[in-house]
Amino acid sequence: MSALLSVQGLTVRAGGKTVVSDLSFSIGSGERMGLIGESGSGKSMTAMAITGLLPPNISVTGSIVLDGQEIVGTEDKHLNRLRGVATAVVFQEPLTALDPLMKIGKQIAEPVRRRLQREQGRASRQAVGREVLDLLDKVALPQPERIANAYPHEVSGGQRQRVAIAMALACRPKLLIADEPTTALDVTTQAEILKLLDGLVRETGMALLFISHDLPVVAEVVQRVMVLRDGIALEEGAVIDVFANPSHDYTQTLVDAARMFDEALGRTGS
Amino acid sequence: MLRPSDKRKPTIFAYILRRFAILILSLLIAAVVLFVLLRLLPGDPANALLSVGADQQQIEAAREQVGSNLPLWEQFLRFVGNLARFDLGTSFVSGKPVVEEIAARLTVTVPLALLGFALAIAIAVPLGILSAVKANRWYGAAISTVSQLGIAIPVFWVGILLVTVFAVNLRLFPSGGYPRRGWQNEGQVLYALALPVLTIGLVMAASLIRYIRSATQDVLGSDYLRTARALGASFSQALIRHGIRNGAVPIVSILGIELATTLLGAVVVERVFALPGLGSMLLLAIEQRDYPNVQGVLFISTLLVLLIGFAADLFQRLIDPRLRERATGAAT
Amino acid sequence: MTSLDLSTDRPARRHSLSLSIGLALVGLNVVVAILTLFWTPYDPLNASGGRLEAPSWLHWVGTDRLGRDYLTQIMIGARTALIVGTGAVAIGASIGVTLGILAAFATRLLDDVMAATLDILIAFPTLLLAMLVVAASDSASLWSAILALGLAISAIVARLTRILAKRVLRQDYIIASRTSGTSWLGVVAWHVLPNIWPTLSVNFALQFGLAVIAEASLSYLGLGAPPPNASWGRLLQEAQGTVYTAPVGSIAPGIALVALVIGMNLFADGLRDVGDPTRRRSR
Repeated sequence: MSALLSVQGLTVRAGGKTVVSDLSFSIGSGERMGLIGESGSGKSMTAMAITGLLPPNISVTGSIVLDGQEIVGTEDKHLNRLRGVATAVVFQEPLTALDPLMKIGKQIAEPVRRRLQREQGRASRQAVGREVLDLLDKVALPQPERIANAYPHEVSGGQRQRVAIAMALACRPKLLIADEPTTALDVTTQAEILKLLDGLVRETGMALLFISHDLPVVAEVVQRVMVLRDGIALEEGAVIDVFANPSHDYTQTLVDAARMFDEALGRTGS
Repeated sequence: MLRPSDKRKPTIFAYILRRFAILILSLLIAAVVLFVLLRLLPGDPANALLSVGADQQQIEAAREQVGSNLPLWEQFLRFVGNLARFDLGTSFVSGKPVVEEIAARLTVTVPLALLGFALAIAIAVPLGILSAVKANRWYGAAISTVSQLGIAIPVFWVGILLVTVFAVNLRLFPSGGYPRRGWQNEGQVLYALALPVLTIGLVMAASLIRYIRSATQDVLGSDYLRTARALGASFSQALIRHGIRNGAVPIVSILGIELATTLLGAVVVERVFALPGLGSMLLLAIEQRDYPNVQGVLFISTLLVLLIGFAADLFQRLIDPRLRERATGAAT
Repeated sequence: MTSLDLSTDRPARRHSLSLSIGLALVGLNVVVAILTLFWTPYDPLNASGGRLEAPSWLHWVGTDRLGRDYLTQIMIGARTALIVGTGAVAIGASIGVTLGILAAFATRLLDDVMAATLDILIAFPTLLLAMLVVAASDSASLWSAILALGLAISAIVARLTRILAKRVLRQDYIIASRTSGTSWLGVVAWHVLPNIWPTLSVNFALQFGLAVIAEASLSYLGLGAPPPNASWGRLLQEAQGTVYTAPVGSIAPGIALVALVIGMNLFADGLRDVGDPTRRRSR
């Protein structure tokens, strides 16, 4: 199998409840895939399972092979070599996802330093600093020096999410997992962040797993989607097919709701 | 929006000024409370100067000497004025300046409290973190149970139990025996302080563990820790880089309160081990109705408590940039 | 990530476990305290055996240095502890809740001054405040100890009440209720008190335990109820003098005290879990 990520029969149980049941999908390198579902549908659990960061009292069975490495049942310390190398994650809440007490520049420097150390065996202060400013520039933040010197609470929500994206980019991952990256933002900022993410993914050629409850948002950035409800995959296919021809009632209601919402807003599709 | 970062420096300076003003104001309030409390004490303080059967003239003279013949407001002004000059009067009983006696007593109480405090931190930080990180192991649960037990035990009983074990059964440390010559006899002082320090350290550690455990739990459940892990930091790396500072913010103010409590609470431990510290001075002064001593000890303790609070607040602001900006005073 | 919070779901049985253990320990104390009003194993005031006897079938915990039965003393100590705890919390609650509510409704300036004063008062350990009040009253008695501890508790309760009440008063439905003409007393009675009661009652239980400890410390220092009122603190203080010859005496009253305080703390924990399931401690 040449897939970058291959999930087979993934089942997640927490507190006696099955949150994800028998889920299977795969993502090839450079491929962009969306995971759609309401909150509680198990999509975030799936993302966390792929990073191997679920708390130990949540049981995970099945198989997740990421970049040739089995994740389920592997000891945590072995996964450190995978996280930040094969995958990087952008989380939903940009305020809490950043360390409130550390300057933004230093936070971005952390993954940069780890990567330089890994790739070149050394990470000089200058090289790290240069890359940090480059990354801030790449995510289109104005005045990179100033932002690097600011604390997270001193910049806006959209800017914080750009910082979070810059941190993920710093890893140069093969697969970027974006867990509801625009949900906490207002509509205008949401559109800007989506455009940025879309551009960066195409430019760097990394694979993308985009998780959202918002169908139109997902449709804008991915090629393929999977619809989840109560931890069960309802359907999977190319974005256009699923949109035009939903095979499941639930997907139909999602599409309808999205369309009604768009019409109410006066938007004219994507 | 990005706020200009050069605004930050004047803010922390302004904060220090404002916090200092609050410190002074608190001292004034404390002076009022102290003054009122002391007027509530029964009997005229002048009585302490008199022998039984003193005549009216002697009483008047004594009242004049003590100042209890003046109107209340004038007494208060004199009181505050003296406090400001650190003139705490002279003891009715020994006739020595109160400040001198307090300074001598502090050489017992301050080392006792600080050593106990240091021991408590040395015990509580690793155990508190361990009990949060390994909450699902038996020893994680055991640590929190024991610390729960610890907060239900009075300090003096811990002291008595330690005496029973270490002084009576093992004969390792003395249950008293603080040398008359104090720190001139360093070895014996430290020997005599061993059990009191252990008492304070254990009791304080029990309550600290709970705070450190919950601060660690907050850090462990935090999104920024998850971000760091998701981007490749190992568990210990992430905990060290992000956990220590974030965990320290709530702990610093708790430590301030605990240190103040230890300083003042040393009175009981001093009684258990017969140490000549500030606490036993207060107890003796209350028994002997030695008002200048009572007042002096209370004022100095208040000052210490407020100074510790001041330092803890400043330190917290240094760690947490968010607090610097919405810096309101003691009234939260 | 709300979905991850599933892990903190604990089975309901554990909550009631701490509540029932707490109730059992406190209940035992109450039963013993009431029992001492009618019956004690021996006369508490007069010798019933030799001095400093070791535990035996006749004297389960031995005798004190005057030959009095130690178990009897400890049982009467339970009564003292309950009286002090209940009295101090009652005083602290009535003064504290009143002050806290007043502060919450007061003007900004008055509120700030009250808050600052309370902060200073609270910076002092209960014990020190209590020592002062006891010293200020002419002779040390059970009642001056209760009053002193009650006053110290009232500062803590007042601060908590103020914060809780202000939080409630900020709610939209309160503002709606006030604009529709409900008097502020009505707001307090119908909205504020019912809303803050669960948190307050947990705090009262904790303060009870602290009051028991503080009373023991006061009597240990010689500032508590004078003899013949048996108090665990004084028993321990007396036993300390004979710790080399009769160590049991310096252990038994402590166990009784710790059992009551832990019982009260567990009871508080149970109340918190049962009364307010939304406020679990993790996170």
